[in-house]
Amino acid sequence: MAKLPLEGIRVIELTQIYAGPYATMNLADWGAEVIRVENITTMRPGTRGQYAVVPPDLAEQAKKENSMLLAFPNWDPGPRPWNRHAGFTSTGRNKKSVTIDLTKAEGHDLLGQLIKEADVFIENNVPQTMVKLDISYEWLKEIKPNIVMVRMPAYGLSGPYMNYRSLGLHVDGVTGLSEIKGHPDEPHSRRGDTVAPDAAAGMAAAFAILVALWHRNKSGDGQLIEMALAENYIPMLAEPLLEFEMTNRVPTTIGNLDKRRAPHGVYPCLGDDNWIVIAVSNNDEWIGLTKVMRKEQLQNDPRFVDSNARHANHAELDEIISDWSQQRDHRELLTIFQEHGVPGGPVLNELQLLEDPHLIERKYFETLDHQEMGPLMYHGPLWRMSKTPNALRTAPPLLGEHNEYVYKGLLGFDEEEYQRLAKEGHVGMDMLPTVP
Amino acid sequence: MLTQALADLRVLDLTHHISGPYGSKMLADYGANVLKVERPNGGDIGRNLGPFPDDIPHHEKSGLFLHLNTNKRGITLNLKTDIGKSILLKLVQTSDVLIENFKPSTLPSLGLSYDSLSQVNPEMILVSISNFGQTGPYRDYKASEAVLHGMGGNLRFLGAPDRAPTKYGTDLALRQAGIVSATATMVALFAKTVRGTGEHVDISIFETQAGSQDRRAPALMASQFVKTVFPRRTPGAIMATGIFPCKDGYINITAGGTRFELCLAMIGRIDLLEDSRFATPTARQDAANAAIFHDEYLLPWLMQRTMREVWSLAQEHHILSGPIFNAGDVMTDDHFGDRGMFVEVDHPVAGKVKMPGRPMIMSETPWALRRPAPTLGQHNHEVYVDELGFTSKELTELHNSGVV
Repeated sequence: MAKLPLEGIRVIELTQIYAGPYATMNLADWGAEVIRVENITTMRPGTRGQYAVVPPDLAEQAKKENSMLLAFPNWDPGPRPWNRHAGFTSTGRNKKSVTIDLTKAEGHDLLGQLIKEADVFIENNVPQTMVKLDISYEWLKEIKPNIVMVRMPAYGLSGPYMNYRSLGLHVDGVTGLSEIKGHPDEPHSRRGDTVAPDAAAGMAAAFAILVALWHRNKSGDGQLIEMALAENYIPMLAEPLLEFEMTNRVPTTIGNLDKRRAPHGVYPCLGDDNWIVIAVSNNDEWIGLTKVMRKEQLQNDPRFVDSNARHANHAELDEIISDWSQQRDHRELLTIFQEHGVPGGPVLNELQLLEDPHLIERKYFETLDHQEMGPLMYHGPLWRMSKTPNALRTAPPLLGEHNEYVYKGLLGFDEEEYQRLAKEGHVGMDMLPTVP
Repeated sequence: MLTQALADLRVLDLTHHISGPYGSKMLADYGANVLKVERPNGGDIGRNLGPFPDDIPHHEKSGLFLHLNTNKRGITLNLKTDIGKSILLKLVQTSDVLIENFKPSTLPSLGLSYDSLSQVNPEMILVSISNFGQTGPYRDYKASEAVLHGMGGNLRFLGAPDRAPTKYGTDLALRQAGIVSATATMVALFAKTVRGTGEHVDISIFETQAGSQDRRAPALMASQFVKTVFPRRTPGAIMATGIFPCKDGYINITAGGTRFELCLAMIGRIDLLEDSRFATPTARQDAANAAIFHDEYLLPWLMQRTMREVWSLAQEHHILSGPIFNAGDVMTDDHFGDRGMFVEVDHPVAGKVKMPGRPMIMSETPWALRRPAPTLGQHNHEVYVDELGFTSKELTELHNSGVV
């Protein structure tokens, strides 16, 4: 395969759960060498799973309750559950893993040696944690003056919320998305949440890193990028925020309705939890929909004669559509809708998505074999480039899989020193037995 | 002097609505010289979408448009005319990137396919954003934010299991694709540095959802693990985890599993760790026990406190949490305000508008507001006369013949 565009860029990551790992996944996909710094002495909940040792009765219960958070291949955590975690698996491809115990003084020094060999260092921890680990931009710069450092706390490196602990789903509330999402007749406790801020910040961090490297290539200078999850998300919510600013009205949720157009919604279909999204935006599409439903008489119904009327009478219209859609297969409707010029498509669950004919035709999913999970399908790089053929290269790394490569290959340790580091608790491929 | 990292880039921006403009905005906000090309009659559809000041529609006052198009210059050009096409090709000669989000069939039907553009400027990168990508059986299918979110993304997980799942409350799928397009542009620029030529970047919003805006990918892996799909989460089924009411609103708390002790410490009931209903991870996984904990211990404590009080106490105990703020809370919040999250943009027609500013802080090459969003055709004279060498008279003729 031809050289990938980011080959030669080395990224060291100290990232947790999703936002940070998603940023580096996008760099690794295009050729950057991404090395995860991990630790066999502590398990941060969420990144490689919740537990180093999954209590057997808990695993059993997860199977009974079909719980996604505790899903392992065949519901079996296996002896090393940290190598079989869905979240980690989804962002881990094309990366390497090294273990260093950063709580020890020597671990700090080892990280420093690694940073000397790096172009980019990225972390998404609460700022307090970085203080505790004594890792700062100033320190990095001493070791490697043109380093690009990315820090991704939830709320930034200053201000009253600086050390507040939040995941994407909490940021979703704090930035105002939760307020405008969900069925309007439900209390917030039943509207659910999203984790959209994580992938948004992850993708924006990948952008920022490349912008910083672009600058470094011209000027020779590195820099610090402060990517607060919440602050990257706020510009994405500009529309409701500006509605408040321009009208002094506080926007609330309108559920699956559109602000102006109708019908717009998520309608039930045949089977268990199958749905179709319909997003009609003009009269032609409306006429198309009446033809699909074989209810052409609705075209002359004064309640539905134009967009405003349909919007005003959407409750009645939604009921008519639901009565009809319940008898239909959601995936079959896609083609029929499109033949009639109606913007609509099925809500696909994960197994349906994996067998979607369009994605198969575009070879979107790629199979990688993993030592402890076997072959699995992974989504491909997020975009195609006509002259830069690309494919996934390696399965997600086992914990510490690249210790030899990093310690001996990159840092030049000999076997004796390597064994000593293993004894000291830096090098290993198993969580220490004391880790819960 | 202000240093912006992308000041050496010239971007020709044929995008409209949300996804493309958000991508080219990121490039422009970090320094790129972005020239937005709009159709002469009405321009970008975003101009017609609100919000508008006091709800009075005006094509120069759309909040959506004003935010999505900061730092861009704007011209009008009718690509359906031969002169329009030849002018576009002139602009292509001096551009590093052309970004567009038309239907995949549009540019080829105008005679402006990647092949013809690359003949004019082989070094130029063409970035295309479309619903389903430039190839494949769905290539020409119609879609929308909610359709793409439903097909590719996480829509099916949003909400309670006994109701229809719900879409995002604003166009997040389109904006995420915009961020992807900015990142992809940078990768293509690095590729060009290696290879010397440009190429065609194909971004499918469907695929950017599938891989994965809202943790769709973890669910894809988990479903393969156990060959089944997972239901939407029943609210309140997981102990100390979910959105709970408090005195003046709601707060989202994640304090289950290994974090449960933190929650007990917060409500001052560490003694409940001795209670067999709450003592082990397995007992805490039980929905009936969760309901008891919520009703008897957590909710009574929450209902005596405001969401800001709860949030602050929760953070003292290192509990992952966040209140449900509305748009007014966010726009007036001291943390975001003091950190400089919002900027005031002075627009020649709309006046002063406070809006979200930088998505991130770059220490050496900062975000900067160099100019407000362009009025329709604002830079026609500057571009056509000063840069492309038309005379003022020729520009008037172009205007009269509907090209500009």
